[in-house]
Amino acid sequence: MAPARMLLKKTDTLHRVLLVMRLMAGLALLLSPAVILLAGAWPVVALATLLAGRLVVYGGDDGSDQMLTIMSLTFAVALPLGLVDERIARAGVYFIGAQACLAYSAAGIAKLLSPDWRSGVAIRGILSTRTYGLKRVAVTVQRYPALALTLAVATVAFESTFLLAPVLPSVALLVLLAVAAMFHVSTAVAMGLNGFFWSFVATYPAVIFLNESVGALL
Amino acid sequence: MRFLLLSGVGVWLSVWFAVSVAAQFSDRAGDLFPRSKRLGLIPLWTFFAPHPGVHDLHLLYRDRLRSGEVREPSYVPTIDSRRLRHSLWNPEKFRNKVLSDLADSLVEQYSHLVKEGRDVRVIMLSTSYLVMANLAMKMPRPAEVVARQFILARDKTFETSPAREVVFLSEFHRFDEGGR
Repeated sequence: MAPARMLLKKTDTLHRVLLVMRLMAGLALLLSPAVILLAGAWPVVALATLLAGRLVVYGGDDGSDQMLTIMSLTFAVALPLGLVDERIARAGVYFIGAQACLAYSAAGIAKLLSPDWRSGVAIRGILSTRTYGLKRVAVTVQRYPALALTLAVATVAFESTFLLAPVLPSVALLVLLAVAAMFHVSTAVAMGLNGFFWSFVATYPAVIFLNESVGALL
Repeated sequence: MRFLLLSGVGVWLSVWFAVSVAAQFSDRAGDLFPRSKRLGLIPLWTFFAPHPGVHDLHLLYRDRLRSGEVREPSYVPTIDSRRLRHSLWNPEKFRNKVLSDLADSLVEQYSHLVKEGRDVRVIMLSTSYLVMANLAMKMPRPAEVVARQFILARDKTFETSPAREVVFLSEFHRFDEGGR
């Protein structure tokens, strides 16, 4: 066994256990008819597993874990209290929708301001690492620099557009969310960032809810 | 009661969102809430920007023999190659990320000490140094080896010319007498 595996074996095992617990909480919510009970229970399980992971391990988390933590804490509070007053549950959903819009737009604007991203160098560099790249994808991007630039421009464009997500027409919003979901599928395959698909796509109903509510006000 | 609950949650979420927005512009916003920041509740959403990591950091080690001779560096495998199944189930990402974060942290702390003109040996007390040293010291040790040094080097694995660059060299650490 490689030393890295040996040294991190305990935390590695704990990490897998926490992942499975979270998966079970999600499946229970999907499959059980007792939605009201689980609406209060699953965020608590999700939150407990996320915080346990953060408290015992040095680093290792990424933006997908952050979004899951924020979402779990918000719903752990807002959904049970939403049974007392529906407006509290609504506030929680608005908050998650707004966090998702903030996440994408901040990522897009930060990339737009970066010369590395505007030139396509960033994409080529990221995909050239073993950590986030696949050899076949890396070689293709190196062979066709225009492809790297196109990917960078497309990423910046769709991420930045989320700044307007609360006020977009419904069809435009659905197209944007579909593009974003496809982006997460591609980064899961090409970069191994599978966690982002689950945590960010899970926010889309909240983004739609936020958009519909803003639309009703305008 | 309902009004109090609604107001309380409303204020909490509003402050949280305001701090989240401010944190995208300045680290100081998150520093006001260190515990929340540590738990990942104050997000920084600038993924891979402005300067993304475009290198793989590798952990290597080299041995000093009883004769005083120093051997060529060897590689400590820390980055797992990815498979297609990792698109769905990728718990290994966590371990790779822990080691990558530790290596980045070590390089950053070392640069900071050099910049501040402080004694760089204090880095040996850092978590990242201790973990890296531990990993290197656990690699197989031939009988004639008396001390070991670890090295952090970076490259772009899939680049056409992946030139490797050394970014950190540790002290030589002696093995315990009789220790393996």
